[in-house]
Amino acid sequence: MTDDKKISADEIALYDRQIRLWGIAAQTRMREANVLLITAGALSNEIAKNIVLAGIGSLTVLDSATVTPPDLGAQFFLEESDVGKNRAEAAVPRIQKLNTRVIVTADTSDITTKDAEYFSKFDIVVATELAASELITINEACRKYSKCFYAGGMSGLYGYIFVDLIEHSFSFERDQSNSATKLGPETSTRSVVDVKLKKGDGKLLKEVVTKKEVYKPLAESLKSDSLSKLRARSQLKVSPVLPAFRALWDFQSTTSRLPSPEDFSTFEELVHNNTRDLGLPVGIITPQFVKSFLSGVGAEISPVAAIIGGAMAQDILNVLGQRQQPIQNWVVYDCDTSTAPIYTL
Amino acid sequence: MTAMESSPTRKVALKRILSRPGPFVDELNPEAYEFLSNMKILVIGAGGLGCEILKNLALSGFTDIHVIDMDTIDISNLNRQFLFRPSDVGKPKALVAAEFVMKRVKGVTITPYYGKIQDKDESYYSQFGIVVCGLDSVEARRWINATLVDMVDAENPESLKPLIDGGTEGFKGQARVILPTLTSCYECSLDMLGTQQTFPICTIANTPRLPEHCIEWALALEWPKRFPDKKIDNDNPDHIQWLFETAIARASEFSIDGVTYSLTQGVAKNIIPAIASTNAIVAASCCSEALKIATSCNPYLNNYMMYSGNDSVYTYTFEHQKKEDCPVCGVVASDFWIEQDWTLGLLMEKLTTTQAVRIKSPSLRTAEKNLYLQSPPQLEEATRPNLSKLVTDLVKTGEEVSVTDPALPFSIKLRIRY
Repeated sequence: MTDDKKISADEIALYDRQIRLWGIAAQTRMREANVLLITAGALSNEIAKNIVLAGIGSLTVLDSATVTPPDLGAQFFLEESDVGKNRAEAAVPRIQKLNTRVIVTADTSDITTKDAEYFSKFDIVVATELAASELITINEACRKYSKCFYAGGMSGLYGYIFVDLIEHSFSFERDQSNSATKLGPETSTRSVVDVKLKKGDGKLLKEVVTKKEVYKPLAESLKSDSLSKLRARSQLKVSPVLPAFRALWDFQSTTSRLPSPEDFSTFEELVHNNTRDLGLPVGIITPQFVKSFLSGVGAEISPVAAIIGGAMAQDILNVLGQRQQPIQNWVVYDCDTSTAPIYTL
Repeated sequence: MTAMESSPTRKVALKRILSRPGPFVDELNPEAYEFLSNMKILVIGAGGLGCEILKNLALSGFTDIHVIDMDTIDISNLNRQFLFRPSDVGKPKALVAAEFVMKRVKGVTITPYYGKIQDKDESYYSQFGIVVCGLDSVEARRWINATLVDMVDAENPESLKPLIDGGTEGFKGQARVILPTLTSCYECSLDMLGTQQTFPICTIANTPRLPEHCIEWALALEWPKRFPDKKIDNDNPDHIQWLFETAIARASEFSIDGVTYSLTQGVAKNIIPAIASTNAIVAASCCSEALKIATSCNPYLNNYMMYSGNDSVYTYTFEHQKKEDCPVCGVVASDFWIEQDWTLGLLMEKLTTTQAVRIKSPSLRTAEKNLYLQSPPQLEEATRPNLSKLVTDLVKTGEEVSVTDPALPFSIKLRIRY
């Protein structure tokens, strides 16, 4: 490793508490990563904070919108004097101050003007608060250049995360158990691809296990019928937040705007349709939930952004570190029930 | 100018959520937002959790926030405590955090206190509507928990202060809601805590296998032997260097790999790994509960949420049960069974290691007499002979023994049985 790639003593002192968790090799990999964050809203503010503090290589924050007073509600990197400025340009200097070792840049372009090649420069692309068609286009561009893709969004007290890492391998160490770990598939997406033994303490050996997860692109995942195969009792427990965000995307694609509480009947029907398309019983959707979801559209709530942003950021760092099981592949967050179930679709 | 007038649309999202119709908000409730901005809320800790909590509360409509922290800023804090900069190293966390957030979020007042929670008394804690904790020690949590439980006066509903407690370690954490005297309290769940990692003395002295054993040997056995009059200072790099060199020499004697300076520091200072994202998630979980409790906009957490990021994302929420015989919030004394051949000294050793009791330097009394007091010195000397006496000679079966410890503002009542 060349000298400038090696981690310095200053960095070790700064990152001490996290190096003790994931080790120097993972920290060195994080430090070389180039990440793109699209749409500088509350969710992006939180993701940016967590990954910049951790010490990634560089971050580009892209947004063509200008700061309005509601942005000050949950975006910690903005101040009153920023109203009227470009959102990315206003936030970037303050994000930069969190860690001067990370190169943080603002891009004020509209994301729809970027061609596929734009995304090839990044290791990880994080698309927040975008409509389905935009997400699918960006996801395809990422796949073309073998880049990792994250999508995330919020609506008041609810949120979602979608992950497409194409193919991702990770390795970890554990004590050998009574039976040795076998090679081969563990689930429909994950398999054990390598097991090495090494000396442990005392009689027990340690295993270094390498697993691989295979992912679907968003367009394909949206057509998944995995949930229809669940038993009836399990289907009743699926979170209504999952079809709600799909309904939000449907509404956006047909009307080119976000729904408001006045659109209740149309929106409720879309939620029901998407529930049925997922193979789930419509009974999991209540009118109160639909009202609650609708009332939050466009509303950014700080703790919700922090939870979803925290989970997304950690998964990004885990992917760069290559030592942890990543999200496979949807997470929905429901602040009413304080739950964050994972669905593999 | 009030917060609302200076930025009328900054809170539009919050107001929408707070006024949405639903089972918890029968009519449109414009007062919920006023109530929120008039409430005094206390944040204990301005570290990994504290920084996140202050940010979230300030952005969630709370305008009168107080924060207590007894620590100063260290370089290793900066990977997650984002209100601090390299130029702040050495300054008090509470003061720097308060200043940063007030500058960033207009209309919010944060009153810091640089000191211990034990410096303040009931009159201080009574002024708050909710207490949110981001502490790093079991002792401190037990103290504030007991203080808030003690404050509850059945005649005065305002004396009940909800305690929202968060904790993190590496990829894991938890958030819980405690309604003192009504729900399970912190003491009720003491037995859920894992044992502190201790190594058997014979392993350390004679048969080490791990690098940690070698470091413990240097720390616990060799240092007191070489420097009987000097107490080890784990913030002193020279002391750590000495431990490191001593440990590595021992390790090579036993052909053990893995002693590093970093590991030596970790063992000596009991360093717990910490990252930003776990703190972000747990702190935000606590703050969303604070928002719900303050405004009744939603059912709040009942009552314990565990988060683990070890294997992707996993959360588990359950209701921890209140203990009838909890020494803090319970109403009955708890039974403590002993063997007939135990001396008082052995009983005390058992108390320090029992999960549900966790007392470091117990003093014991019955209604009739002092069994053993740690202080003052005259009483310690006077009661010391009791340590070698049988418990059965000092206490009748079924008799209540009161156990106190200087770190805890309450006594544990045990009914000794044999």
